[in-house]
Formats: sequence, C-alpha cells, structure tokens
Amino acid sequence: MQSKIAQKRTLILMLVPCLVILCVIIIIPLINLFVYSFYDYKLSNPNGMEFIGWKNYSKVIKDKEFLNSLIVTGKYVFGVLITQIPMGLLFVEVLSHIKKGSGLIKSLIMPPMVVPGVVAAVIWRLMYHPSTGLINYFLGVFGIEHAWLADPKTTLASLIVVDFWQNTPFVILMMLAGRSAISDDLYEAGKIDGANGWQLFRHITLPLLRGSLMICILFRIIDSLKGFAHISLMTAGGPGNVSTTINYYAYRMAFTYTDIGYSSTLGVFMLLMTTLLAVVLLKIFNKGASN
Amino acid sequence: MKPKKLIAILAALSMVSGLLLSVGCSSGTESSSSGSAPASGSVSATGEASGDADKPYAGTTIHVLLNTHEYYDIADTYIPEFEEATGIDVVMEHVERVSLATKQEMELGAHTGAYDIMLIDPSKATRYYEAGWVEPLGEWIASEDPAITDPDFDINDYISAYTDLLTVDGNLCGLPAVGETTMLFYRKDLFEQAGIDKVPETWDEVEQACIKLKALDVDAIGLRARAGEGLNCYIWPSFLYAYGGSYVDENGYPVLNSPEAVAATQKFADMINNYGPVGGSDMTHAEHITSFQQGNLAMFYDASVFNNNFSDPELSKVTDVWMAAPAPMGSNGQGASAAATHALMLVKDSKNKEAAWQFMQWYTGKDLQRRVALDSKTFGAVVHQSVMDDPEYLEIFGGHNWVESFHKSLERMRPDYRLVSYAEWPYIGDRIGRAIQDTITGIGTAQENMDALNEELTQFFIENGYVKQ
Repeated sequence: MQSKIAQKRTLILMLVPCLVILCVIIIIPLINLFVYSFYDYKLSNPNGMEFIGWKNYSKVIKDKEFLNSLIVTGKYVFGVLITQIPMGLLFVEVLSHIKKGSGLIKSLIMPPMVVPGVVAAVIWRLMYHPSTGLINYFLGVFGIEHAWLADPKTTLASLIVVDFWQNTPFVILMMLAGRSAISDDLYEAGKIDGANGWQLFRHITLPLLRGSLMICILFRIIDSLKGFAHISLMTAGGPGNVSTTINYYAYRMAFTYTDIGYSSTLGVFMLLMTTLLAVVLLKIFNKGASN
Repeated sequence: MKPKKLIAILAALSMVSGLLLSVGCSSGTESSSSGSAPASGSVSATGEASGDADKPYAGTTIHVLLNTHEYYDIADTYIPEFEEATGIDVVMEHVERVSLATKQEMELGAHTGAYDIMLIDPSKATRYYEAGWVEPLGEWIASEDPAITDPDFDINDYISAYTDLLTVDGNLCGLPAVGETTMLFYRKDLFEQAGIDKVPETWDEVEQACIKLKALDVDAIGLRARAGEGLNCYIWPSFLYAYGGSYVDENGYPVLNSPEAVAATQKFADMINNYGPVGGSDMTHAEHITSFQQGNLAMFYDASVFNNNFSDPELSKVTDVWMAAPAPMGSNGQGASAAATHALMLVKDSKNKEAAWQFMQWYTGKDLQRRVALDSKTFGAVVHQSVMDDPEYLEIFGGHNWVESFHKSLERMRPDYRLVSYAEWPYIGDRIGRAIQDTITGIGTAQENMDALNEELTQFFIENGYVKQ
C-alpha cells in the first residue's frame, strides 16, 4: 500500500516539470488571449486597458478586412490541399512501381523540406522578379513576361506554388510510410482476381492509406493556416490585401498597430476555427476507420 | 525532523530569500535612477559615476536601438572617441527598419526601459508622444548646465523642416540624424536621346517625358507602388496635392474621394502601369534604386538620400549621367514634396537619461555629421544647415544639381504631406496605401476604391475624435 502511494507521488512529481512548462507556454497565454479579447488594449494607449465586453467580437464580425482574410485563407488552404495531396498520392503510386533508383528519387525530393521558410521565400521572391527573375528569364523564350507576385490574379497561385515546392515532400514522406505498411499480398490477391492498376489503387491503396491521408490533410491545413514567412517576405499581404490571410492580418494588428485586444480576438477566432476543423476531420477519420 | 528534510527546507528558504533580496535590490536601483527632468549629477546619485569632474557619467552604459543606415555604419566607427571622452559605454544595436518598428513598439509598450535611445521618425512622433513613450527634449535643450547640455549645442542649426516634423504640441520629440526630401532623379543622356530639352517641372511634363522615353524602350519612371504608409504613401501625396486634392476638409472629415483626389490616384496608377517597369505595381524603392543604378530606368521620383547609391562607382553604372530636379508640381503651381528624418529619441523609461542625452547631442551633432559627410564622400543626407553650406561639403555633393534640387524640394515640403500629426497615422496610411495599390493593380476603379476608403476612414476619424462634431 505504502509503496503504491510512493509510486503515485513519484509519478506526480515527475509530471510537475511537464505541467509547469505546459502551463507557462500554453495555458497561461491561452487564458490571456481570451481575457485580452474583451479589452480595448492598445500598447500605445497611455490609459492602459479598458474592459469593453463583446465589442471586439462584434467588430470582427463586421470587419470587411477579416472577411477578406477569411476568404483568402480558404482559397490558400484549398489551393495547398488540392495540389499537394493528389501529387503525394501520385508520387507514392509511381514510386511503388519503380524497382531501381527509388531510394535516389526519395533523397532528391526531400531537400526543399529542410530549407527554412524565410530562405525559401527570399529565393522564390528573386526567382519571381519580373525583370531579373529566373522564371521570367526562361518563360521569355515563349514571349511570356509576367509580374507573378504583383498581379492580383496570380499572387495567391504563386504563393501556393512555393508552398507546393516546400511541403509536398512532407506529404510524400507521410504517404510513403503509410504505403509501406500495406502488405504486397493484398495487391497479389487483387491481381489474381483480375483488378487493373486503377482498381488496385482505388480499392486497396486508397482505403488503407486513409490514416496517413487524414493526418496529412490535418497537418497541411494547420500549417497553411499558420503560414507566415512566405506571405510576409514575398508579398507582405499584398498587392492590396490579396494575400492577407487571417494569420497575417492578426500579426499586423498585433505587431504593426499594437492593437493587442483586437488581435487577441482574431486569435480566438483562429483557435476556434482550427479546433473545429480538427474535430470535424478526426470525426470523419474515425468514422471511416470504424467502417 | 530528519536531517535530510531539514537541509532541503533550509535550501529552499535560502533560495526564496535570495530571490526576494534580488528583487528588492533591483527595485531599489530603479527608484534611485529614475526621473524625468534633467538634473546634473544624477548619475553620481546612482553610484555609477567615477567622480571625475570632466566625465560625470563615466561608468554608465547606455543601450541604443536604431535602424540600419549608411550614416550609422560610418558614425559608429567614431563611437570609441565618444566613449573615451565621456567614459560612457555605448551598446549599439541596429535592426532592419520594418522589424525594428515591431521590436521597439513592443519594448516601449511593455515599458522595459531596456533601451535608452531609440529611433523616431515623423510618422511615429505623435503616436509615441501621446503614448508617453518619448521624453520631450525642451528642458534638456534649455538646460544651462554644461554637464547636461554642451554650450556649443545649437538646436537652430538642425534644418527646421525636420525638427518641426518631430514637434508635437510644442514638444520636440527627437534629434534628427538623417534627413531627406523627395526629388526627381533622371538620366541626362536618355533625355538627350529622347529629345527632351526641358527638365520636367510638373507631373504633366513628367508624363510627356515618359511618352518620349518609352520610345527608347526603357522603363520611363519608377514610383513606389507597394501599399504602406512609408511606401506608396510617401510618393502618392505629391500627386494628391499637385492635382488639387487634400486629405481632409475644414472640419477634419476625410475627402479622399473628391474628384481631385480620385484624379490624382488615377494619374499615379496610370504613370506606374503605362510607363513603369513590368511588375511595378508591387515594387518599392529598393527595386527602382537597383534598376536606376543598372541603367534600366530613366526617371525615379523618390527620397533625396539615394544620390549616394547613384554616385558610387562600385554600385552604379550611371555615376556621370544622373541628374536631380526638384519635386514636380501641379500645372497650376500647387503641389508638395515630402520631408522625412530618422531621429534619435530619448526613451521615457530610460534609467540613464543624462548619459543618453550626451550621446544624442554628439551622435547627431554638426561636428560628427561634417566628418561623416566629408570622410565618406557618399553620405550627404546631413541635417545641419552649417554642414550643407560648408564649401568642402558643396565640393563633394554639389554636382548633379543635387543640392539646389534638395533646397527647392524642401521649400515645397508640407507638414501635412502625410497625416503624421494623427496618432493613428500608421494605420490610416496603410489603409490609404491599400486603396492606392488596389487602383494600380485594377482591383476596382479609382472612384470605387477611394469611395470605400473614404467611408471607412470617416467612421475611423469619428471614432478617434479627429473630426469637429
């Protein structure tokens, strides 16, 4: 009996450092985020904080900039998913049929993933430069000269391309891990039953990759929502507000205009959105898994 | 009690008491060294002074946070002389300007007092003053105590356009270190080739020149287009005033959708789209400087300080053929140029104000400015009239019509070129910049964008008490 209590005490004591760190870096900032969202709190206001109830929340709902950033974020996340997930699947499927040299190909596609976002943004900004950039230099052969980042019609797509270059390797890596867990026996059985390549992919690979796929989608959504370096360094949210995502909008409110109260409210909205998305996706995932 | 437990309790008690003591000590230091009015010998009250009458602030360390700039690169090399003369240790930190704004407002807002001197510019002066972050300099300048203010210090030698812009409610908020106005840079060789025999004096003449230069297959003009109070809002007001527009009416209500303001915005957008480089709709001054240096741009309307970029043979291919002209105006003689300055402010929460004030006087003073200008032969953006009038200075910087253009442009400066007297100017300016860039990129017409902007700003001005009710 005594030893059990001592054991529990030891366990609790061992948990303390973890709980303290969790408290300091997550719980307390989170509580502050909610508290500040109810205040008119600008760092430049010498009178300090003033409690204003739900005013920041009603301002967010009426804020056209917020609505715009919501739409931009939606487009960006959709663009990221629609390009990276199918490419990940395609790549894994192709790699699974390559007998020789697949290791080399895997090694070659990984480097973009380890390039810091800031460095990637600077390099791509230079490549996109309308007159001195590498992209227009090559496209010039076909008579194409375009301001990729400056033209509002291509800004977001250009940012999605950079994200594609940098983060598709992550998707491939996750899918490869999932694919390697699928037994070859299943494919053998499918082939004996007369299934063609598409049927094997549709009825064996895809259902059994569901776990990896869902995790990939969840990670890419969260990563895209918090994406900052590419937008900040390549477009600064522009031209106009064409590439101002919620995250970048909240950053500007907090650090350019030092409006802590309003940016906290935007933070609360972002937190609710990501939580909701995670819950919905996990529900879909769990439902699929139980089926 | 077991000995082990006793030891543990004693150890814990000693740690807690140590912590309390350190807190007590630090709060004692704060109270003894804080104080806003200039007071001779206050450093010795902290126990930091060496007792040397010639060096009353010896042993004090001051922390300075500034942006990156050529002036600081050169002036910093002279700091050891200041340290030796005063015994004050200077810890200098330079951060790129956009990141600096974020860093310093966080520091100021949190009242850390970690820095004694920071950057201030006219676009932030009212904001910082009203937030109580900046120490007004009036009493410091007026001090007759030589231990506080150098008897040779002459505030009237600073170019008044700069000090006026840094004055809020009659209080000077900073000492200028670098100054500029806006002017037109152009290539005389390309003008000759295009058959332009008269340097443009109005924006309509600039447009006529653009049409001729475009025939030479060069980018005719570079204008900052990217949205931002310090980006396109640093150039666009020249168009606003030249075409008869203004920001507000007599009651303080925004009138940015007036026919004149809309026409000015449309003209600004047309100049960029029709005569600027490809992708010019999202460019800043940085791209245009490079383009002008490389010989790919015929005209560039921007800050006067970029003369050094064009004269440096290591960076520029146009050292002999660039010329300067005063800021173009409207056809009926109205118009405006900008004036801007990077200045040093004394941080209100500083605990070493006296020592920091010594450094500010020296670092922005005419002696150092003259030395930096004459030694470097590239930095001409001085803020002292006496230096600008110096024959040696004129010999170095007087070419290319730069000095004459500088003075003429500065005469055309309007204090309301940007609404920097509004504490929320950074936000207002960014919003205006957004509407301008939307017009350039074709997201809505000039009328639609300025209507939406005006409606939004009217509400904002009412909420912030900027209008007469």
